[in-house]
Amino acid sequence: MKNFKNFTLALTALIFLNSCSSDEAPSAAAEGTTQINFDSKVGTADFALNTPFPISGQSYQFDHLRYWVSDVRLVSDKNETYALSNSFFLIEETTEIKVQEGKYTYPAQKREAVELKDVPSGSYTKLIFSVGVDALHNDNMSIQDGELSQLNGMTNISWMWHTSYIFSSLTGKNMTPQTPVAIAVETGLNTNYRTVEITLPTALVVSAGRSSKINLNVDVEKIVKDIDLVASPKVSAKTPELMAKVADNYKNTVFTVKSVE
Amino acid sequence: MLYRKIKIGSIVTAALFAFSCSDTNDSYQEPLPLAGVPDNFPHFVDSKTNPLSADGIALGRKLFFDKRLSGNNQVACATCHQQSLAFSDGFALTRKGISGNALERNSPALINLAWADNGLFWDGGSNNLESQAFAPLAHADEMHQNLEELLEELNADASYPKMFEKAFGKAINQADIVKAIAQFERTLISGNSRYDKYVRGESGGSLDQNELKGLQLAEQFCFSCHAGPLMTDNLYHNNGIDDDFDDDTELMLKRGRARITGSSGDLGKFRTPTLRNVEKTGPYMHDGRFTTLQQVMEHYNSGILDSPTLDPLLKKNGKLGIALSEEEKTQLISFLKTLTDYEFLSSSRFSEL
Repeated sequence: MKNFKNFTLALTALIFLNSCSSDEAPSAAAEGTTQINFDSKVGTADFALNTPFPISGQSYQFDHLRYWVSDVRLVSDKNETYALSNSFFLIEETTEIKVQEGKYTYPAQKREAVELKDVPSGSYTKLIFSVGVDALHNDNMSIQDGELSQLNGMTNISWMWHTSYIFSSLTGKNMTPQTPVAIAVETGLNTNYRTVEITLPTALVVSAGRSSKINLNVDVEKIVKDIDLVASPKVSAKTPELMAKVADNYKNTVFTVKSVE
Repeated sequence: MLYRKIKIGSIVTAALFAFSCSDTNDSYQEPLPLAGVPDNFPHFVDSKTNPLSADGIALGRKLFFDKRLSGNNQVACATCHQQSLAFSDGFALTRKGISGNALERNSPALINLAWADNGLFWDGGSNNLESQAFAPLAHADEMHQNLEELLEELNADASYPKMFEKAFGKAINQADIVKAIAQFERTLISGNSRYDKYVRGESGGSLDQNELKGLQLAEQFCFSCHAGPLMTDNLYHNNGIDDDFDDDTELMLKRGRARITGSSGDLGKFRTPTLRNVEKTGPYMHDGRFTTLQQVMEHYNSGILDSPTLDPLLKKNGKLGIALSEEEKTQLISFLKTLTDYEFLSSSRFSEL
């Protein structure tokens, strides 16, 4: 009898402890893979590094565009959620970056796709993801999930504001003045963490053996919407109100759906 | 009967195993209780993501004293955190980093950090010892280590790969380097000064008349911020050493705590350092501006500068500072010297192996 009690206790514990995987949709008969593409634009033009783009009457040339995409979720027409918790993907288009004042060089890179594996078969109508790094990971850089690392120049480990991650970074030059002015638009405070919710115009159908895709437009012009880069060429911890505005831009206007395949 | 016991055992094991799906609890070993905590200290709450283990602490200790952690292999954590000085360095703003440039802040003493739960650095720019350790490792004026190169250097060592495997069950990686260092730092407990023995009524705990007078003065004027057995409230105060915190440089260092919180109410505030071992941790203040305890006493007596964020305890009834006679200053300093924990300064548990 006593043993039976223990058995029940252990079983209850087992069920209870296993509950941490419950945020994933119930496993479907089959699973498929899908892809999210982040296609950078400036307005309607394709984004490219070291190429002049007119924004608000000035001509800007960029040398990097980088941001963390995290906690990607898909919501199905049955309101079931596929959640990739603790997922961190560095989306970027960058020239070579000197990390730690040149101690280490991060190579030029272009990365615009995120692969989602083992997605339960279904019809998904909503895409949710966050831009930035959640407070738990941002406040403790030794909890390294996904692609989080100290080696990619997306950290502020040298006293900039906190020992923490840079959530998003757009840097380059304003070429209009006689002497070009460096610009840097960055976010990274815990309060800059934003979750983007996008309703898909047509459902994303995932099933085994079928390749599916969500293509997003990422409008770089919208990142700096309502930011006067002539007056404030540097958006950083020194200008928290501008950082909040940039974070809101990422949430509200930067990402739109180009197509669902 | 026996069969059933085995079955239950395996279910319990399975249940424990199932717990590992929580990524924030990636403990590899059975947590070790923090050793040597004095009875009168607050309860220690271990890190959920980096619980103490004997192997983790031993590894952290080796790393703490290892100069290979710096870019030129000449600077260790211990270079600016020397045990004989309660893990401070005796400089106002040290130039011992690999660039030779003076740092922006005074190297803080490392004392009872297991309870430092409200931010590290003088302005609280880091939330935990793990994140904090990345800053000196990477900063160009401190250890300026290429973190990828560091992994190669540690992998080439005869003992590190095994020690990391034992402590964390993994190959050497950046996160476990700072975790191990943080574990060692949490063991740096100081609670055996003559004053502690006096408080606990132990032998060797007698204070003379001057020291007792000094204790009374400290209770009256110092313990509100340098509070409790830790002798710090772990909070941020403006203690009147400056009255101008305008700083439009990118680092905004003069703003103090406000550079982190963005709140004007935090301008000029800095973290309360513990009074423990204060005899050994000079020069004093976040920039090491005071060389001696006499100068610190004189500051509180006659040097307080007024500003909107000045701590109200330093401006009572519209009067700035704490009026102290020469005799009282001497008595206070006598008391402060009873806070020196000679066991802490020399214990082989904290020294280089």
